[in-house]
Amino acid sequence: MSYPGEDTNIPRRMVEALEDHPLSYLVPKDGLAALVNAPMQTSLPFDKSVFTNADDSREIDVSHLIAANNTTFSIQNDLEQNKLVFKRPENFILSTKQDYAPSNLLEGLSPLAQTVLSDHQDLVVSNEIVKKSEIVNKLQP
Amino acid sequence: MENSGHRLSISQVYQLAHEYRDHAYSVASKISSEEELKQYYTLINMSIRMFQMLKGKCTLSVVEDSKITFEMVELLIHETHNFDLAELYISSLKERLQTHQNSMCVVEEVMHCEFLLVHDLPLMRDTKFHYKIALRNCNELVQYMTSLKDEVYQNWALVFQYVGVALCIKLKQHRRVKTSFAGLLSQCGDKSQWKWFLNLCYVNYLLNERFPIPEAAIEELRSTELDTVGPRLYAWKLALNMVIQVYKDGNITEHLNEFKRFFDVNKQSLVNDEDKGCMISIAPGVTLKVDLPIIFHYKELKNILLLLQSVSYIVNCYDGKGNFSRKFLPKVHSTTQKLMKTIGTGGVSMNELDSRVQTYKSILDFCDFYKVWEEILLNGAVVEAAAASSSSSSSSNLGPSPAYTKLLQAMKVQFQGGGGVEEYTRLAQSGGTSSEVKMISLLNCYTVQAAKVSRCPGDKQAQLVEQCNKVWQQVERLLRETDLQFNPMWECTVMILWLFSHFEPFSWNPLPCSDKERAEYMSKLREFYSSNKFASGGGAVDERFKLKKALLLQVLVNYLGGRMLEHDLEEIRGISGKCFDMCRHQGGMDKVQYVVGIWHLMNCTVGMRGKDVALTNAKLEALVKQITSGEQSKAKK
Repeated sequence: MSYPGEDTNIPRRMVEALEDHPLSYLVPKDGLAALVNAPMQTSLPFDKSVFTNADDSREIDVSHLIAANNTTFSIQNDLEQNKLVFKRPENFILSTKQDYAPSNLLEGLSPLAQTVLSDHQDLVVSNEIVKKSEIVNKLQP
Repeated sequence: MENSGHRLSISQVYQLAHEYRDHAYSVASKISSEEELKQYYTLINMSIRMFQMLKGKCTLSVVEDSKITFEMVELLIHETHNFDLAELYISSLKERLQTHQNSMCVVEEVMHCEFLLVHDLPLMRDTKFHYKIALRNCNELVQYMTSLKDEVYQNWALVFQYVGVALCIKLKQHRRVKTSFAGLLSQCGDKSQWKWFLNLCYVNYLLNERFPIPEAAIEELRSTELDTVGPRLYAWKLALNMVIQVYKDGNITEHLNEFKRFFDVNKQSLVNDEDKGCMISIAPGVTLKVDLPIIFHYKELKNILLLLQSVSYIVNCYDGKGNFSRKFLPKVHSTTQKLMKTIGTGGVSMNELDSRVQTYKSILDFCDFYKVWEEILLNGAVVEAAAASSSSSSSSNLGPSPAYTKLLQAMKVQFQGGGGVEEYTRLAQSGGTSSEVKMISLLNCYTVQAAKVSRCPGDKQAQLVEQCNKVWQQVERLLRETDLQFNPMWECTVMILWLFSHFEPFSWNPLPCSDKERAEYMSKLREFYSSNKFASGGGAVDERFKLKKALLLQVLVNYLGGRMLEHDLEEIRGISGKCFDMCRHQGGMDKVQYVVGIWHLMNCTVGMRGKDVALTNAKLEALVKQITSGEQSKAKK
């Protein structure tokens, strides 16, 4: 008995017919469970409140952020050497447009907060904002 | 420097520290320029400096010192790279607390220090080195606290046992994760929020790793009560149930209904207080806060749910217009982009928002990947779709992981002419590949190699057969070790490929096998065939063997069953006719259709159905033309 395609090399056995047909109904789903779980954050709450006593007479001079030489607290010296290095976001897309007019995010602070901030303009300039990948290289020479 | 000084009361300074921080958080979502980023960090910096000033210039009580240190350290950990500084602050506070006269008064403070040291800091540092140290310290801590035989410490020990598990997960010490979870769960009170929370973590972990979920954990999940765990954890439970179902390609209708009933009553509590997280009470005075925005926030949960639905429906996608996934995936895509734009209603750090954006991006990657997969099902080819790169992701990678991209590339090679063995083998052997992608690679690789055996003259087979057997051993091992064994689609596929490569009608050179193997796979075929037979009035359907309406798979099961199990000629012809017809509905099935068609032609001929013979002959003629012209155009390329 003859049949169509007899004289061609079209596969006649199923295993050969599947040779160039990946099993596309096997849809990969890995990573969906991780999506449900990310980013999970666990923390310990600490609810005690402090500095609520109206009679508290302790005062601080805030004009100098770090008082030099009058401390036995080793962290402070450490801090002076350890400039704060802030995290640069990995995913936030910063506008690259030239004509983008940034809003002033400092607006809305209380008068006191503004005054204290203006006393410390040097902090604004000294901010270093670095990506994680960059800091790793820096810290591990 | 001659400044007369600006003296403020201690509570004013404390309030300023909060004001700077809270203000920064309230504007975090608006940041879109370098200038604004600088302003944000100016505020954070000011906040940290205020805390430092309180610590450096005042005599503080231990509680005050603790509170301030915790608040400042939180900023240091989340907003800066100064982890060493943060650690120094915590360690020195811990020293102060340990010299305190009455140690029982400051237990909570000490525990908080320990938690920051073995949990928060290592997680932020995120290196194997730090995880290892933290795990060692954490274990010692637990041992010490357990040895104290004091109930307060016993309770806190539970928290750190949990931290230990989290660290083991990070270190991928899977055996220890499992035994630790088991140990922890056995100490919990039955039907408690804490126990159910741990079980949710456990199940999610098993799903992430594609490990089989023990029956006890499933039972615990099932028994999780809304009234005890609260709506947020309950939403997590429902989501996990859904993932389990999607992973085993089961029917999700009942699970969707359950979600609907849940939302009817609890929607509002997921909409309100979005960023408050969930408080888990472990023991009197010991509480853990958990936040899982993608589940705890209503809009995000709905979005994820729609993504899971789409994925569940994809396999039916042989009708470009009628399939749900075609409607849902674009919707998930646009909703995700909207969520990205409206992210954060305030009160959340920019870095926290940043990590949420990361999650949104991987949702977009998933959408793109599954759109490509739809095209594969519709066209029988890997189409380098325009769908890709429509997401904001910077990489040209298709899909949420490099392994997915490589899988698509390998499939493309196979579609183009039966190759891909090398690509699949590399993928299956690579350490980073997930068990699922490995399995797909192995099965496709096996098909290609078994086809080669079928074509190969007898004297040259030995090496090819050897390769087939090697791949098959890996398939069997992987099936045993992973949750894929619970998915009937995988189980059935393994059975089909085995029969195709070991029996005469399906391969010119069937591989040798034992009677035992043969009996095993034949009995599986019987189960799958009787539950998925095309014929009308079929027998009882066993849900355990019921397959989704994946067209190729359905055709293959019926082809096998029709050829090996049926005896009635009429019945056989019915099946072969249906198979032949079905093949037309999915793209790229020409060759499968041809093989099925020849079988159908034979059945019609034997049954002396002249009209059907003529019709089938004509259809086959057309098919042959189509295939040969397709081959020619492929060859030209």
